[in-house]
Amino acid sequence: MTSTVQSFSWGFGGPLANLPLALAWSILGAIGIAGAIWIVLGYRRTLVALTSRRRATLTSLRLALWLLLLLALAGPTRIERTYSKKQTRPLAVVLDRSDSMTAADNRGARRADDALRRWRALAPAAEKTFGKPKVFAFAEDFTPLSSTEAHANLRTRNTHVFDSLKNTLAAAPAGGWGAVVMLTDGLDTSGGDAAAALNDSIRGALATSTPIFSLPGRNRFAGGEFLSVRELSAPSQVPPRSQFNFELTLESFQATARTVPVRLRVGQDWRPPETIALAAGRRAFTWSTEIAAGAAGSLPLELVIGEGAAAITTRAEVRISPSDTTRILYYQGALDWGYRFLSDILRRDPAFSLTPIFNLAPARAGRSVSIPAGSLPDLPDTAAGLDAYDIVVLANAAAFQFSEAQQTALTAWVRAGGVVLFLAPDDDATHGYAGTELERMLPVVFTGLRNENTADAATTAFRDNIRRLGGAHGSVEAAFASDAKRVRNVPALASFAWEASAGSIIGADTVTASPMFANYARVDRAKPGATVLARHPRQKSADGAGAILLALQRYGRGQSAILTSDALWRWKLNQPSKERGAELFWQNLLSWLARERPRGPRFERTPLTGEVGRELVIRTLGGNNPRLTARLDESRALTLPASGQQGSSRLHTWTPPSPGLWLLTLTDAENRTVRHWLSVNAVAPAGEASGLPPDESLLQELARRTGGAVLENTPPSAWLSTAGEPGIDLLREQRTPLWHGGLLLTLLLGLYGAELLLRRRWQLL
Amino acid sequence: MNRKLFLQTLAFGGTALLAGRALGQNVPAPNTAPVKTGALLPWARMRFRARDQDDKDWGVHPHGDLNLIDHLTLNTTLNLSRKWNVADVAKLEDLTAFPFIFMHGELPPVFTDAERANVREYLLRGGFLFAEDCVIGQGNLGNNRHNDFFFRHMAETELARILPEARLQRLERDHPIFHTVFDFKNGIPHMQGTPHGLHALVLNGRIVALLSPSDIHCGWTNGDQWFGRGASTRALQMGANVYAFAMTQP
Repeated sequence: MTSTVQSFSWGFGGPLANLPLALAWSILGAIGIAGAIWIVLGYRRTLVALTSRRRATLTSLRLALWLLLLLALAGPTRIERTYSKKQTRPLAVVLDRSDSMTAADNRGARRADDALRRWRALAPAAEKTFGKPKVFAFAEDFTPLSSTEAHANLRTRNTHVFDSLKNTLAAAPAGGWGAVVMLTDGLDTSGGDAAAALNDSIRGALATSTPIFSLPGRNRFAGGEFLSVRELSAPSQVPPRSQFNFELTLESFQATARTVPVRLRVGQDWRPPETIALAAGRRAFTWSTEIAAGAAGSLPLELVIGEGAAAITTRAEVRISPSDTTRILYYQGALDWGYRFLSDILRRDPAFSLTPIFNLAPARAGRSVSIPAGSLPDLPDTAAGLDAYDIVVLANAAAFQFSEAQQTALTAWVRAGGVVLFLAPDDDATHGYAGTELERMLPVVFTGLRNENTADAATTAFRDNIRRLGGAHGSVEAAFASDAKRVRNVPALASFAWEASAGSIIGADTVTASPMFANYARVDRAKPGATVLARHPRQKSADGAGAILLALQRYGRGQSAILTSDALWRWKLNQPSKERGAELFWQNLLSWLARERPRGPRFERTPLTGEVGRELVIRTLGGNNPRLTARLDESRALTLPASGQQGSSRLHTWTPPSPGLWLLTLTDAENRTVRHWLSVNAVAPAGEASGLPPDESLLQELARRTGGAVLENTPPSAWLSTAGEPGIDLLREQRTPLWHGGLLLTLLLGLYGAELLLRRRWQLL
Repeated sequence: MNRKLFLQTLAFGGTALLAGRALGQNVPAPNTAPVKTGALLPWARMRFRARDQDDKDWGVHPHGDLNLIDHLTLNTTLNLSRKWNVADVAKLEDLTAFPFIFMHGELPPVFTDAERANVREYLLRGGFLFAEDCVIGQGNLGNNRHNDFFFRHMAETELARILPEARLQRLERDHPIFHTVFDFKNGIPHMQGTPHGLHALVLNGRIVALLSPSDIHCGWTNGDQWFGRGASTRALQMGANVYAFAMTQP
């Protein structure tokens, strides 16, 4: 239903246009009064004496003309507004009645009461905006309620936040909910993939344009002390005699600070115990160590955290095997000799395969260029597209050459385990990476300015001369060539200055190859956490240390590296053809970079703990037709077939039947095996009664991505602005200026004409 | 249009008209060189002795090389230095300073054994040689546009001595070198000399040197005037293909 409303307003133009209305009117009034005084004074003294009546008539006509002109300046505008009757979508209020919401703290306060108390203060504004809300309650189940105060008969062992949101959206009337308000602590203990469920929920809300608001319930319930392993990160396969990183993320809660011992067994040898200090309160922290891989085979790892009955034991296994082919994607932003020399080195070694991407002509050339055989047209813009490679080399490329999607894909791929080697092109081009997704991933902060390509004076003079002479001239050319042959302009090569730790990190062979370079791109500094392996022997960077030539950084599960020199083709050309230094350096560096790249069958983000009777989702990747089995001690192995696929991952759902340390074994047709240990308990160590605080980051994420908010004690501004004028939406607004209408013009001309005629008649003209 | 918009349009239109006339000459030309990335790459011409102790034949028309550098800078992503360098075949360190060396002559080159060893070592280290036959009518060879003395001597004698294990072969029209940056359906564009076709010296499946009888270098120099309209462009485009192929061949 629509209705039309007309309204009238003033608008000012010219220099008064953007002034406050009162000020504009004041200025206009002052001008009007000044003009009126001038008009009155002007008609007081005339060449021909006028009667008072005639003087008054002429003065009135001039004043009327003056005032009408000012009025036109004011810009009267007719504004026609069309409104529609707003169709209000209702509000859903969803109450979390799970154990974590209803458990009382030491003062008897419950999270559910806290959230409801604050909701009662917000409810009037919500009702004005949306009308009477529909109420639902959830825990493990989901049910409608008559009001927020009504009792719900629910199973409360677990909290299914995402399922309940899904159910709420499904229960929406035609047109969807105007908003959903969840009174919850956001602790989903359903055991599913929280990230995927969050994304699904957001997609569902966005599909119906439903903002999600939440009102977190809080109290002082702290639960009991606990220590658990959240994530364990170790490569599934590494090359023999390499080093790899073993990383563990622990989560704990303790009332007072304490220390726990950590013992690690590598193969059959226990390392000396270390101690981890745990500060009071809820903490998540990471512990990592470097481990040397020996000869080919399996390397079992066992980690024991804590002592006695409370000790946590977790195991992993790393397969030590000669590298498969290292697949390199070489992106060349602009033509450079590095590719020719690197491809010549790598093609002699079957352990490498090189796929180039060339940019032969500048983008502005606007013509299609044939793509050289065996090369790709452009960098893939999905992480899955990059999965066919182990290392991506970005050589001589400027930041503007990568689309946002390509940068995002590259960083996501590295975060998931990929490796990027960045060959810095030059100072200026590297500067362009500042603030990009790629810079965040790389181990250095860029800076610098460009070197201009200017011809030397002799060449410029020669070209000018030849141009003047008409294109060719034997004696001038001979003189130029004769001079040129006496000038040598070969840049001197310098050796890398290796850091002391470089040999132990990337291998002594690589360091003793002694690479040499001529040009390098300046960078500002290494990032905290980056490892600088080689520096310039003489040039310094801003922090006073040698300018960075080679640096590394871990990024997520992957790694990035930067070589600020070119691809070292000058070194290769200056190295006798029988020497193999350049070959050794590149082969070793690339093999080392790709050492942790996941190969063969492997587990992905597989849980370390489980609960009897609770379904688990196990993700596996790679391998040739792999088979997953689960076995407890010496019992018969259970086969866990894949029940679905998500991206490139296979999903295996399994409900552990009994407690204990289960061994999950993934073996493919090539007999490559990877093992994972899962600790299954009778009762989950964390969850409803863990004392976890409300997951406010999840609630904020849910609100931010759906246009809602995390509510506290005041209603959101959107509710307040519409609460005063419910049900009205402005559909159309049409403005018609009146100042240039024919009537006004006629009136002005009429007044002016009448004044002229009377002045003529009374002999003033 | 309301009054405000009308006045604004009038004011901006007038200002733009006046400013456009006043500043018109500062508008950048559309054909400016693209922004380049990477360190400057050097260009070099090989210096060598030719028959009868000639020390001039190697350095003919250097501005042809400079014209090609301009063309490569404008039409490819290469960042070439605008400097003409000379690489003396007698000094290995001269050769190895340059990843690509252009060799050009009309007279048959005369290499010493040491110079042959230098060229061999340069090619084995990964350098690339582009050798071109020129016709300028010197050395009592007559002003015959079908001269092929340089080409024949390089093909039949010198390359075989420098890299006996390599194989010299004529490149067919469908070879990638004719399609790398610009498309040449009929092989190398011929300026003058005897059209033997573009030949490649192949070592272990990889082209390490190219030998051309077609004098595209004179096309780089003054092609339109000497060989007819469009010859200069075709010659420069073939030069771009040679250089880009040398960098990108697998």
